[in-house]
Amino acid sequence: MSSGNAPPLDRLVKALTSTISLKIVMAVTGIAGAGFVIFHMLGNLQMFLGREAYNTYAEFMQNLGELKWVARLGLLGILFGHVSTAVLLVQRNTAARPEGYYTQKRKRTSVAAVYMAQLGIVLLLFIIYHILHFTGGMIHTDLGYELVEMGPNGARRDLYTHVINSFSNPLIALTYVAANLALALHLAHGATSMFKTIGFGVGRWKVPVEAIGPAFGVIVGLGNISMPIAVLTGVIGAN
Amino acid sequence: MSDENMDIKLKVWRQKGPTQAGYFEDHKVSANPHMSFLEMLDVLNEQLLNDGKEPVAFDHDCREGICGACSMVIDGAPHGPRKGTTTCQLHMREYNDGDEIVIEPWRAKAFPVIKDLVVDRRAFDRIQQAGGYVSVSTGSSPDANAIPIGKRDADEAFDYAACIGCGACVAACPNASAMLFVSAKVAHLSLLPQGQVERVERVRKMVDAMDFEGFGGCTNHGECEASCPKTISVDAIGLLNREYMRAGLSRD
Repeated sequence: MSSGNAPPLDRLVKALTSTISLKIVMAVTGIAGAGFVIFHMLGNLQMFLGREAYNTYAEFMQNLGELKWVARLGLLGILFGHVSTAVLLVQRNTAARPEGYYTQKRKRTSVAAVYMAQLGIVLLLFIIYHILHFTGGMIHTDLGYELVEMGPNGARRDLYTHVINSFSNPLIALTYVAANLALALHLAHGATSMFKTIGFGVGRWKVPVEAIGPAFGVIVGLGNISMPIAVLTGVIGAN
Repeated sequence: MSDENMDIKLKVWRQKGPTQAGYFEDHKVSANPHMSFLEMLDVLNEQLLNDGKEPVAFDHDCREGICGACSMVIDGAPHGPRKGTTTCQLHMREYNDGDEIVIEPWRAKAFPVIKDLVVDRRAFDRIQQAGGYVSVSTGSSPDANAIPIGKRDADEAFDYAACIGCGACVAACPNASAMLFVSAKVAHLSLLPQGQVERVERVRKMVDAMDFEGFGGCTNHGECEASCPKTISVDAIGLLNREYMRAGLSRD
């Protein structure tokens, strides 16, 4: 059981697969994911600045070339690390209590914390759907994925119209609203939890760390949901 | 408060042995409000013995809240409804005439049921034996201020040392995680000068042992702190994570 005399490499492998190490991987990938989410939201909020600003931003992102693929593979790697550690940890946690309670009081925890894994599954399915929809254009093919317009540097994709057409469909808009509610809840617990797991949420950092999750969840939730709602209610794209 | 006896309905977990299937059994007890919870169970057992039935097995020892033996989940809460209170210090005045109380054992793979409400908590002893000690000679009690310890470190170490190893944190945790227990032990010793010699090895060995016993991991629910009869702060887990990373960065 004790690893004191094992060869150094065996000890390292053991250390990296301990519950705390897996949790740290989950936390660090979570921090990276949360960073991406806020960046993604700020980029897309340019919808509110109009067609020109949004399509210019889209053109810039599309023209990143190899850097775009580095970023995409990096994000996939982060997602893989987050999901695989989640699977391992949930298995361990479930196995740790084979027989449940007749009744169990919850004194402190939150809805978000209790349903973290389920919210994660919803988000994973949504990410696949979202990539098929906006990144790959493999579903909802009649909504203008292939549209182009003339920009200052020649022809470029008209993503603005694709987004407007997509969110004008109430079913698609509501799917995005629902998925972002799940994201908000996941972040409300996760963005606090990740700092606690890397040992940050103690002493003078306790209060800021406990505040950051719910605050982050509300900001990202409201920001992302504002776009489908704005399209659906005609605030943007009505012209 | 009334001194009148109350009629209490009990739904108690019965399990003949580790491998037998358990079930709930209903009983009625007349309990005085001044009785402790365990005294109420003593009354139940006397009743059962008089009827020629098997008494309910439950762990108890000091009955003054310091040994950590009286492990049972009362209406879904380890040690019952009162904050910072062990089962033995819980009194029947918390209840009203006619109340029904559900009593279950700690439920965790690492704490198998031995009989009825008694679980095997030796997993905690093995974690403690793995590294929760100071093996350098610390001599007899030193003169005051012979070993300078900062006020804050002394206070925190003392708070974490208050852990009685009862296992309520495991029982309360949705993941049956032992991290509050392990972190209290690690934090207590790593904050003090006497604990520095084995600081790196201690956290590694105790976390290894914790995983080996089959406890779950922390997902920051905070249920452990809310159920701890010694109100040990969940901040201990943050300190454990720090200690573990610090050990991870050390060269061996």
